[in-house]
Amino acid sequence: MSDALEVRGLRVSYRERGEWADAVDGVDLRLERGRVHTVLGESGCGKSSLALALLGLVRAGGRLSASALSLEGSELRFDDARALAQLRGRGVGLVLQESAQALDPRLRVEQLLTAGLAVAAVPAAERRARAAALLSRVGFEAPQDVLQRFPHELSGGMRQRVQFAWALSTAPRYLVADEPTASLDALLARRVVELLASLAERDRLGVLVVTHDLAAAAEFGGSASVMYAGRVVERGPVRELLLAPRHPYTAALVRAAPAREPFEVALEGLPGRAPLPRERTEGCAFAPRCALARAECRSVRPVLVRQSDGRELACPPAGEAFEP
Amino acid sequence: MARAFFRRLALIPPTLLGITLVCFALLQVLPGDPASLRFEGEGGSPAAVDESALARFRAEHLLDQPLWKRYLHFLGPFDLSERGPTWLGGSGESTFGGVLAGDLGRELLRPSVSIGDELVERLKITLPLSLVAALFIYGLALPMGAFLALARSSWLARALDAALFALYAVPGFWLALVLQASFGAGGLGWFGVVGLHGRDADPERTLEYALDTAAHVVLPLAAVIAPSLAYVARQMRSSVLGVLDSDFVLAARARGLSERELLLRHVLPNALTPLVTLAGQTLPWLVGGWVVIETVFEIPGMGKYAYDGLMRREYDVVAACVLLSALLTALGHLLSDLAQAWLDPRVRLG
Amino acid sequence: MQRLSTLLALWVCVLSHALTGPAAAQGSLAPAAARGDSTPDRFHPDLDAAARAKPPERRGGSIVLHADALPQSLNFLIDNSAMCRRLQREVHAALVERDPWTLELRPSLCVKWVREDALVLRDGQRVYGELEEDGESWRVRSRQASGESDSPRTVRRDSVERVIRGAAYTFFVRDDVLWHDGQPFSVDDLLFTWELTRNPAVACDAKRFQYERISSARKLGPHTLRFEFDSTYYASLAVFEALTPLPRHLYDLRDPRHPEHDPKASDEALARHVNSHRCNREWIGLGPYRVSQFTNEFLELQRFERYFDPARAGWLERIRFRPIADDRAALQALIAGEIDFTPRLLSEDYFGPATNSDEFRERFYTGYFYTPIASYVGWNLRRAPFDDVRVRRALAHAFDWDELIASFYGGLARRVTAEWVDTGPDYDEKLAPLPYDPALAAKLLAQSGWIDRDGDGRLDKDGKAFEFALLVQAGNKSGEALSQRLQESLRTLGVSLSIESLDWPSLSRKVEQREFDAAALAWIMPVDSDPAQRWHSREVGTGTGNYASFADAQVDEWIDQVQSTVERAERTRLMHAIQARVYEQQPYLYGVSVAKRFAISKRIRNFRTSVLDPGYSVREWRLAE
Repeated sequence: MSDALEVRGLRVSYRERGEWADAVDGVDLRLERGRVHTVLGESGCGKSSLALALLGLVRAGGRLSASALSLEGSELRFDDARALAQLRGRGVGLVLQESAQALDPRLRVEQLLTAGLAVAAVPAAERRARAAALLSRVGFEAPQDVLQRFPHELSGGMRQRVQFAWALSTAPRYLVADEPTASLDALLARRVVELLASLAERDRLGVLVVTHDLAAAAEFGGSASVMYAGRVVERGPVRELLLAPRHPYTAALVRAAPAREPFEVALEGLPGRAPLPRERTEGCAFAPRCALARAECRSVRPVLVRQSDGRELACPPAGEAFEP
Repeated sequence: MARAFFRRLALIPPTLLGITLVCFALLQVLPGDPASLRFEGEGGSPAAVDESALARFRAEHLLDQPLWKRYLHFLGPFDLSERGPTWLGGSGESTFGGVLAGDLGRELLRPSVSIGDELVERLKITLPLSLVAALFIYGLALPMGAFLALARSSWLARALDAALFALYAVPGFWLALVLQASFGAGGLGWFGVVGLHGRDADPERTLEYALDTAAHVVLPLAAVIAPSLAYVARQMRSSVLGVLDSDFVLAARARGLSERELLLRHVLPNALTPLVTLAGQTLPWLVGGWVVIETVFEIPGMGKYAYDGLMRREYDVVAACVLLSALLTALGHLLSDLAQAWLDPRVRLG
Repeated sequence: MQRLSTLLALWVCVLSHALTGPAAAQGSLAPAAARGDSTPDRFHPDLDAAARAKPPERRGGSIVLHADALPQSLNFLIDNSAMCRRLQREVHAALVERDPWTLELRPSLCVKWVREDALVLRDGQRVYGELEEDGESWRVRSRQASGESDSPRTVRRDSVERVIRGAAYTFFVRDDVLWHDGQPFSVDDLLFTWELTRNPAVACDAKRFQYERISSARKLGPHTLRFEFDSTYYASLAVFEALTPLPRHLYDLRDPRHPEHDPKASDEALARHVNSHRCNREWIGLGPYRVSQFTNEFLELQRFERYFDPARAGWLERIRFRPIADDRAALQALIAGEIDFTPRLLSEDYFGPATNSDEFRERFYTGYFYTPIASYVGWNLRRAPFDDVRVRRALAHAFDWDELIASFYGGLARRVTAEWVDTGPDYDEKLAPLPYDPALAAKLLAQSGWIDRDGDGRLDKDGKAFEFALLVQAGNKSGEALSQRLQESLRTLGVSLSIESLDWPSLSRKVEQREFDAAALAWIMPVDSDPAQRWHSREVGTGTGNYASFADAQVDEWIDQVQSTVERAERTRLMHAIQARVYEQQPYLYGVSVAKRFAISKRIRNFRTSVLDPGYSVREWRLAE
């Protein structure tokens, strides 16, 4: 019995050219209330699929499985509608990357929020006040005005905060935010980081942030997982991870940090590119690009191993370098 | 909003002007002229008449005049024929004429028939048929399309999808003939295949008359509905799929909304918006879609009128039908824009 | 079912008493083999013993007929369409009408007529009457107004400038005729109508050449009317069949009874009023049937109770014409019981299972009859190489009509050699059609210089290959069948033909402007043919009837003679001579007269076929009980 959302052996696959390819390839994750956990990685590494999977969601054409899933001690299954009902809404909230598509263009902010409040069983009479309170909580100074707005009448930063308010309207205990700071300018991004941190600290939400932005991740603090090709390659407190990366991939990411756009970035000193899900082979997915790669790296899949200082690493050569 | 609406409304007349002008020019390209039909000989030979009679007929109906003059005569408001106002060189018997004077003229081969009155008569047939067709098309296609999208992996949806695709690919003309052969007297004999009424149809006996008419319009309606149904259903399917794929639906689902709530609150309203636009744009189809079907099933509506007019080189009839069709097109676009502005807060009429 | 097949065996007889001439049409039931008409037919209602055993027919009942299209108007004066003409017998009447069985003209609106000749004297005066030659003088027996002859008058031959046979017709008009709106019909209506035909703005152009032969008209008494001609015209009486009266009280703006009465109405205004009169469709006529509904869906005729001649009155109460453009759809409508008669069965349906099933034959008879419609390919004699008669004859020998008749028409067509009714007296049936003889065709072409000089398989002359375009009406199946076979036949001879499918307005315009090499067309063969329109050299201009631009001095002379020849035998001799001479010149590739294949409900009695278009007379049809 613990205040945590936990998943083991999570696998998200998409059908590509008639075959199932794993976007998320057996990931274990534990999200504790009151903490922030960041998932770092380039685009296409499966981090967004992982984020959605925590709510039992998968994009069109995909499927989802896990060897174990538990929410604060109760075992759940992805193929059980009742379980999913527990997970979504009052269990876990979701905030997506800001885009014109992220909010229903036909609904006013108030309609959006009251629907969520209804899920949280807030009496109809209180919903309007609560909706305004939610907007205040996410930093709006004139919530009454915002309530009457349509999404297209708001700026990108405002829309992102409305998303937060909408996610919070169902009173979740955990919050998953997929690239919450992407497509925002630095100032707005900073406010989002602050909001997330405050949600974890003040409201004791378990927050999972998925981002490619190492700087933002550093701001969040807490712990982080680095993903590459559908797997977690390294995990530990975020500052330690960034200051002293152990996995060669993490190290490469850190070196490339100033690049804010992750797309098509040739990581410094790394040949080639990350494999697509259907291109993955046995062994370490990073091996073809890795300076440390040994023969067995290409045939034996490395597992995440807890090291003596509590950090976890999925690279035997690097592990040996620290703990010979 | 109102200003924008009126601005759009004001754009319609010049649009119509352009369309009718193009139509007139195209008709010029058609070989043959109504004069030779007016004096058609028996048994399918050209008639042996005085060249002067032909010339007189052509002169009377401006068939010997340049395009621009015929167009201006069609347009009005002044009668440019021999009978026009004296200051235009006419005899002064009539001053006004043409579309702008509210006069679509008379048929050349049936001079006792006013095209405007005939159009109204024809619309009385085609309009109700079109409304019924539209009702069926949208009434069936929208739920079908939604089903195709929501249950897209079920075998039933796959089968329906394949069937609709086949239906969409079938030419309406061919479908009409197949329907005629299969359900008409030569086949199962369930429905009438020609005209709107049976031989002893008596409008006094309301119920029987209605049933008889219904039995006669089943096949033409089916022939008109089927391809459009397939098209609209597939449009609806892709629209629903598009919305289902969007982030806000994902987010709404993450809020723990039930599938039903999700559908009613987010998916369907958003998926229907483009379909409303489509519906507005199919308004001219109310005429165009019936040309072939009315001809095959011998229904004396708008479509057949346009077809017969073309076959007989009744330029004014064709121009009137095109004008009506263009008017419906313009109105359809305006209506669909209005509907969209009403349905989608992002859209402003401009 | 067994009875039916027994009866069918009995029906192995040839149709169409009309084809065998007036005698057979009068009711002889003996199966008679008409010329070229040896195909056994299954239909002859009068041989249906079962039908005859049924109770006698009654007046009343309603039927629905198939029409390929509805007429634009019912005013025959200004509407020249075949459909309008066909309906005249039902909805209207003229002074005379042609009996569909004897093909003779008989009184209709008149009780009788008196035909007079005239002597034109040197001083311009005319003496009318029955002429009798008497040595140096003419004896004239006048039979004017009263109809009785007075004592003869003698005129000296040397005071006579010329003689006009058939110079005047005096009609004694019935006094019991009513328009369909109840107004009495009078000679004034006829006079008004004749005056209209002299108004150039009235759109009766297609028939004006007939009306123009009448030089004057005069009312002699309340019911007597006299028309005069300036020259002898063999078909003068037929003019009065085409002169269909209009109700003056509705059409004459200058008539006080007219609702828009205007005594000063101009001729142009009057003509426009007539041309676009609403009654051209909402017809008020004199026939045994009045128009009760004329919509886009059908034309409905209702028996006119007050029709003047009970003997010729209609039997059916209601007759509807349903327009169905597609003949296959019409058959479906027939089977569905929506129509009772179609004269337009497709060949494959006529011979195929559609009309030969037991269910079908239980309800319908099928059969065929010949109407005077014949196909032909007109050559443009203004263009080489069709200006060479050897080429035209070669093309005639090159085509196997018998093969076309057998394969495409199922035997139900026959070759013709002239453009007038091929069972009438003017037609020389002894003139044999040119036989199919490709070798002779090649020889004729070689004689005229068309030889394959460059060995490319195509004939050439003066460096040009023999190629031409044939205009065909698009969608006309028999035209398409003909053109494709002709193309094939000519290819083997080394002549290349390209088929140009055009819709009717385009084709018609090209022919009218003489902008064609060859055109597949058809004509309706008239009973009293006037060969002048088609073959006289003065008719070669554009817009006239001589599309081939045929010109032959000998033919011109005979045509001029035949115009004024009233005597039957002499006329027949001239017509046969014209026929032989024109056929020899082959301005047309003479085609075939095609039988109409019909299906008719067994409820209908007294169906007879006639050589007169449309080939039957609906007013005589009755319904079985």
